[in-house]
Amino acid sequence: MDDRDQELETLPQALVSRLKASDRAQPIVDPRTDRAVLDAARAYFAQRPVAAARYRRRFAMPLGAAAAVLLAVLVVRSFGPEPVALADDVDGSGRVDILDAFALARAARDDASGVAAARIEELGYRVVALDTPRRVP
Amino acid sequence: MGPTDRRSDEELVAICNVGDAHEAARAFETLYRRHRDFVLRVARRFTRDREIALDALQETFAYLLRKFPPVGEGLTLTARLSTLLYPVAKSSAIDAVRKARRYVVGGDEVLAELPAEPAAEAQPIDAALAALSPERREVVTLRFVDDLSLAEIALALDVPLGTVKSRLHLAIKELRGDSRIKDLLGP
Repeated sequence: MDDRDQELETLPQALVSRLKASDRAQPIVDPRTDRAVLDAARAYFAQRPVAAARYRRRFAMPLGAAAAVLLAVLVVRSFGPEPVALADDVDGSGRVDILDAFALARAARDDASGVAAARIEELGYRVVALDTPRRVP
Repeated sequence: MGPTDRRSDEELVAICNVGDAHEAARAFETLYRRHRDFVLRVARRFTRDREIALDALQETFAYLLRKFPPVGEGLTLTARLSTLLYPVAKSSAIDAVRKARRYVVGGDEVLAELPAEPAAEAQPIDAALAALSPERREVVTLRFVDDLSLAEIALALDVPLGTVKSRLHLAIKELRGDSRIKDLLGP
């Protein structure tokens, strides 16, 4: 038996029933009041977005960010520096830099393979004109 | 979604917190219909006037409404909703009576005698209850009419549990000694 039952025992059931009956014999709510409260609630909650709009708002930011990243990648790939030709990577380092020009010059000197001086010079100028070493695609 | 709605108050409050406009309004309607009579009875105890009690009823649910977004930050129920509604209904009722009296009397009168005395044609049980001090009457009513536990009464009245026990003990003792309700007290 919990404290609630013990307390009820201290007041006879007939008295409790009469207390309840007396309190509940009160006027009931009229429809006008119901309408006023519920209309106010509807107007209040109507300030909220409906479900679809809420979901749109919830996903708009992540989707927008993803689209921006994708666009940036495409733009960089489209307008960025052109990839250099594989043939320019003479030393096979995976990048085209001044060392490739030296390597080309060494090859021309060592085995007299017929590499034109103009080709070496062209590569040298092109490499020097680059800001940073370019990776071979 | 009327009285047959089996969702708990906690679930309905959660929907009012985060649901869309339609869901939240429906959940609030269920809460209103579930607790409306309780709030009106409480307001009626402190006003003894149906129209003023109805004003207090509206004000109580307007208060509850403002707890939810977009104005409020949301509500977390840690106890029965009635323990939250009781002090709001009581305060709204007393304010409504003050306003009504001010309007009629034209002064700035404060109602020290609240709740008002019962009408002359009141039943013996009403007279016996009215003879109790307001604090004891309030505890007896919350305990035996509204079926709140002692802890819930302490929460609703914002007083220590020991105070509730003490008031209830003294109130019951006083009622048992009231000759007007002798026939209800048994042997």
